[in-house]
Amino acid sequence: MTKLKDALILFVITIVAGLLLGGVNEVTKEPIAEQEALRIARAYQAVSPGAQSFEQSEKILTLLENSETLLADSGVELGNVQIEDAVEALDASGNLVGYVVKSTSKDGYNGAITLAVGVSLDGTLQGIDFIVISETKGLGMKAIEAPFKDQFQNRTGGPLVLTKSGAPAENEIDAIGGATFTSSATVHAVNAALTFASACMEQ
Amino acid sequence: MNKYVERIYNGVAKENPTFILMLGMCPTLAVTTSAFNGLGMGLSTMVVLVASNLLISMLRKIIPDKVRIPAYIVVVATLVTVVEMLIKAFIPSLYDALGLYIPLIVVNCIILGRAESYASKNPPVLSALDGVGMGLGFSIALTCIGFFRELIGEGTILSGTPLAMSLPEFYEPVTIFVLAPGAFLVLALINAFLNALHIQNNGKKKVEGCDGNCCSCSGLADCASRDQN
Repeated sequence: MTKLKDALILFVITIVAGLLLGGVNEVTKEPIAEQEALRIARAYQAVSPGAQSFEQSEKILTLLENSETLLADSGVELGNVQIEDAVEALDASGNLVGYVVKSTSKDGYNGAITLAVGVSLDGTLQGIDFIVISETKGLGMKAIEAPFKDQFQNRTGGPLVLTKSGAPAENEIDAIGGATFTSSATVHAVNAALTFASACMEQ
Repeated sequence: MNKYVERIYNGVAKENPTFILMLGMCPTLAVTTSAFNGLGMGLSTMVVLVASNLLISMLRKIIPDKVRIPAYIVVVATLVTVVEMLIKAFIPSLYDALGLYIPLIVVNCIILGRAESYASKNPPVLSALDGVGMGLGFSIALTCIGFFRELIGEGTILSGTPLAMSLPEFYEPVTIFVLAPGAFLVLALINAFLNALHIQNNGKKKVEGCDGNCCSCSGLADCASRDQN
């Protein structure tokens, strides 16, 4: 009889825990989604100086649907990447000034890394902002800080290449010491975004 | 000293979770890449520890002995998940700073260890203070380890804080110290240093091989020296 009583008490504890979790989840669902949207909006704004609003035309939506084939056909080594979203950046008068691409690389050390990549109309990489990153503190997480992240500001030319030599050339990005996975995943995500952005500009 | 202060002293010095009890080694090794990271992790763990000790202590008369481990796990996991969801929804800046630590805290052995060896057998106020003591001890240990790892491994002092400094240019950092092997090295060396200082309570050695730490001793049932310290 005691075995049944023990099991019953455990059952009650887990039911209460389950209900509590469900309840808190309901209450926090919307605020969390709002925070997410805010974070993305901030990231988009950070990588496209001069942009006042973001739109998605038919053209870009069609390109998004075919993004997988687009990346596969590009011939650039990208690893496990995905274009999650893309928008056109418009200035105050509604003129197109560039694109913002949200790309994800699943090749991070500790899971997926999602970036917002800003590209201007002449193909210049304006900068990047991290939306989702959960790498090791003190190593991979250095990617969101100045020396590494700033390397992606105002870069022209084609796809970027990762180097560990410490003296990056024209189209190279210096990797974070001890965090090759993070550095390479970031570069892949950026290159995927650049490929997508140039496809947007072609048509 | 009075029993409340004794709990704090116990957690910080006598039974320090990192250097004496040797609990929570995984997050200790992973998160001490700098003093600031270590401190952040330590303090976050302390908050969870106090809350979980309090909760388990309040439920100790209800939870049957035979199902206590699953019960503790459910309580702790629920507590941490609820805290994480609330922070994520309502204090996003805090979540950005500490969010990474939260999944690591759930699996920290210190939480379950203290629930089992203290909170389940003692009243709420003392249990909460035990959480504070252990949390502080953990924070101090992690900050120390982080301090040395970043000093030797990166040539920085207190990076990430307003007091950040760097060693002069000529210092070539020994990078291995900010990687996994370095964590083991620093932890072991600090431990060796503390042992040499006899910080550990040596107890009255009536029994061969006794180092005075009853809590982690397997021969407790038949021990002649038990509770002499």
